[in-house]
Amino acid sequence: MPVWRWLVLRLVRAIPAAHRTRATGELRDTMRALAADARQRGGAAAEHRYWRHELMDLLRLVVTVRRCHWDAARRVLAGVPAALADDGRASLRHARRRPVATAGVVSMVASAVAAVTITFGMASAVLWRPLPFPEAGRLVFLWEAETGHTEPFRVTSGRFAEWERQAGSFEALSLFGAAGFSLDGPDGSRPVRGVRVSRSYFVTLGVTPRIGRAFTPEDEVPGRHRVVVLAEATWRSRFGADPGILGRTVRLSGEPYEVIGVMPDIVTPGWPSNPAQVAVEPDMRELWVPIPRTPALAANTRAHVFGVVARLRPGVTAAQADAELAALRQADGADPHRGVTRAFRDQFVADVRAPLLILLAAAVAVLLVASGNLAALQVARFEQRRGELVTRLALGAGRLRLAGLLAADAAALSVAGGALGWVLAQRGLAWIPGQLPASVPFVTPPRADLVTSLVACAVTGLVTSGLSLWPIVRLSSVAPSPRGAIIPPRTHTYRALVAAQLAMAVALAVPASLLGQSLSALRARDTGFRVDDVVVADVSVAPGAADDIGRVTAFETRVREALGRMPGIGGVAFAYDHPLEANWIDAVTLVGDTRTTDERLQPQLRIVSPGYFEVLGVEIVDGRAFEEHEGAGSPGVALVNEAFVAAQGGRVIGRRVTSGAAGVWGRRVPSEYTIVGVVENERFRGVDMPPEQALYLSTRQFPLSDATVLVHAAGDGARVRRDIRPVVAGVDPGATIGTPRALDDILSDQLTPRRMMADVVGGFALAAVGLSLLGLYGLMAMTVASRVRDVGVRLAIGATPAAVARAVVVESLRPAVAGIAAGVAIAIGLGRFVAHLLVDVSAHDPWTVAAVAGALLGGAVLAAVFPARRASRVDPVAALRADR
Amino acid sequence: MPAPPIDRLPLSVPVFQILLSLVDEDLHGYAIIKDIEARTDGEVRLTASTLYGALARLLEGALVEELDPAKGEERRRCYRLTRAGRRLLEEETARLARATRWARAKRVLPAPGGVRS
Repeated sequence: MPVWRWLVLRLVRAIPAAHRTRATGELRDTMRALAADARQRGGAAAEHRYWRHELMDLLRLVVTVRRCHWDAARRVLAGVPAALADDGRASLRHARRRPVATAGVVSMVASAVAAVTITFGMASAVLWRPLPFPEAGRLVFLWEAETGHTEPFRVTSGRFAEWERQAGSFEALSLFGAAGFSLDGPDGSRPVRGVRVSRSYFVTLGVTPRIGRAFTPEDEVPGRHRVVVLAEATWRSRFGADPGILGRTVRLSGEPYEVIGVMPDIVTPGWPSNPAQVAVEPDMRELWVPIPRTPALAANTRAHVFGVVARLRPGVTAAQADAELAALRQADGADPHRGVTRAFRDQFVADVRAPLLILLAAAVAVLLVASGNLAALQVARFEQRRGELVTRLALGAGRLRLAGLLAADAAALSVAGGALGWVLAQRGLAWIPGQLPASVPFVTPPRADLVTSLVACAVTGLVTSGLSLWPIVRLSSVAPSPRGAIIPPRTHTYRALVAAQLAMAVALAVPASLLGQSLSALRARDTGFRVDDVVVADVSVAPGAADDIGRVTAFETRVREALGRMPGIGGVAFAYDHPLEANWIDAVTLVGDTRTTDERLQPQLRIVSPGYFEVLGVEIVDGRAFEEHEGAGSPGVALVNEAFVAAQGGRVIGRRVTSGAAGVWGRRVPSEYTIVGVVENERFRGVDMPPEQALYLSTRQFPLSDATVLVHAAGDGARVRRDIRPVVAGVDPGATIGTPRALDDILSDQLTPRRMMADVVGGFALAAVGLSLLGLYGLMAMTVASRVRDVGVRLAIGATPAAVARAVVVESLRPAVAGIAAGVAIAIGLGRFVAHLLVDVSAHDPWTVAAVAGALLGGAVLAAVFPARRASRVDPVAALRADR
Repeated sequence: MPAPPIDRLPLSVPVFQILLSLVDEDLHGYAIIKDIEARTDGEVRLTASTLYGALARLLEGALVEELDPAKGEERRRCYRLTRAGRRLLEEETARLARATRWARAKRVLPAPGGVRS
């Protein structure tokens, strides 16, 4: 019995408040009184019975009232989908009625969302995604720099040895340099490009091997240095991911190397090049070999061929490290070079940061224009229905319901567009990196990840809420009109939106046009050497012959002869390296020069064979070219370019120079060279770089076992590219030949980032211009449509159709001019962000600004012409009879 | 939304009896139950749950009203029949009377005043 009582008294709470009357206490009191009565009447059994009855009734009550609540809730909830479905159906009906407009809106949102998401994905991958190394913030590259030399350059092994010994700022530091081999495989010998590194390379980066081990100090001992670590990609592609690879011997350029490890696919520094650049292309880091620590290595302070990567000690800043490196230099006053650090990511992204951010900004601008356009569309539709809405409100329609009706369309369209845009973006992000040249430094490759998806969602959400909130906000200011007057559509918001779109379009079109002009200027620029019909390929003599000057020279002679015998060949030359990969800077001393080392010339050192200048069409402006007979035994001869002459001043022919390069190879080469000629400037490292000084030596006097063969194939370049390999192999089966490429392809690749940038920004600008003009057209069309009656009156009282049309055009020009003026101001304000990407054109080029503004103004007039014509053709009688 | 108000005939037994008890005096909950019990010789005996569930619906339908409790008697509220409540009660009584008349016509019940043999 106490159980029933207890249960009942607790269960009272389960009755919803509204059904308890107000007094739970009263209910309980009554229960207790009734229980007492029952006990009095029939004892404990009666009370027992009473509580049982009470419990039953209470449960019945609870169930009944609860069910009432659920029913009510169910009714309310059932109404929501019905209302939504109504709105959705209305949207769908609307969409079906206007398929072109609907597709237009959806694709506009989709393109804008995709553009922003893709550009953001690229920018975040390159600029912000964490690097794949532990505590990557402490990683820096070290370079050497020199007063008077703007850009830092590669490091000598001697300098590295000094830093390794003395610099306290670094926890670890490692040398890395280019290493080219031929790798013997089942399908013949193939060139592989690896990186030669000192022992702490992987330790510095914090990369651990996938299998096997990294290098140890033991591996650097000369004689024991023939060990190799493979890149995972190499291991997979050439060794079938064989887990038993460790301990196996592979032949690199004929020498046996033991495989000791496989490194995971992480983008690590590959070949260093001047000035202070690091390649990250996968084909420049297929394997790693140790650099044997010979006494000559630590002593070499002339060959600037290495890069250095270092890890700062915890708490040490790059500035402190810089200061320490500068102090080290002062301690040794004879050497003009000092060390400088460059943050790991900066090394790769410094050049692409601005382009990427510009692309992102351009995409956001397009998104804004597209949103403005959609918003204007919404405004227009709202204003056109204002009369209807006022009536509905007057008849008692719920504001919320009306707002929902209005917002449903916009929301549905923009969500559909956003979803489509997201799909496009994911595709684009997976596809685009493969389309970019390998030189674009994706240390952290872009991918379609959560962040980009979130960005797409956020962008879509913004567009959606912007578009759907608009009618709700507008609706709150709509009041039933007391006199039933017809309310004309209000256009000031619409006008402002159109002007804003035009401003954005101008602000985007100006830099787009400037970038396009820069690209044209670069394409038209004289490289200083022949680009068309030149095929280049890396060649190396058979490994055994590399140290024999006679054999190297003979190899070059025979290859040039053999290739020259092929039909349609204009000329064959050897060079280190082809002009678009020139990267050997050397200190050159003019004999009798009294200047200090700091002021010495640092020209590009170019080792070229006789015939080089004919093959590349480089003109000899003074003196003569190299002769075939000027070999190892003859007095040293050199050529310089015009930039060298300009920097040096005065007549240089006949003067003698000594080059540090002579000491690099330890070969029997002349130590002094007499300048015998001057050639015109070649633009090394691409047409967007200024001409550099160069000193040319002859391969006949300075033979190189690794060089580039250049073939001028007047006509069939494809056949030459195909035939180089068998011809060279016919001369020497042990020789290694890289992939032959057309020089103009290489040049084109160098311009690809610029071209893409110009194309993409240009495309964005075109889209923005088109959209904004469409917006202007819509505005004028609506204005005219809403004023048919006014126009009718004016025509009736004697205005000519031409005057009416003129009035419409003039009216359209007000938002157009305002928008364009604002756009010009923005473009000029933003000019400095694109300035350093421009070539031969100023960021504030008045002609460009004027042309863009003029073109948009013309477009604006055109956009207004059709509505103006419609206005001029209004039939006054019909217009006056009409409602509005 | 509360339980549906009582606005249709027939009335349930508890509702009818509650309205009947309130016809001539304002009573609190316990008193209503006791009054019903006394009038019906214990034939209709309501539980507190039934009473208060019904009262809530009667209040909702404005058939009874709650009086402000007397001082010190906050836990004993009195209820009073409203005009609507009285009309509903009259309708129900009339309906019951009609039903009784039809039953008598069929001699289901003896005529009033008659004595069952």
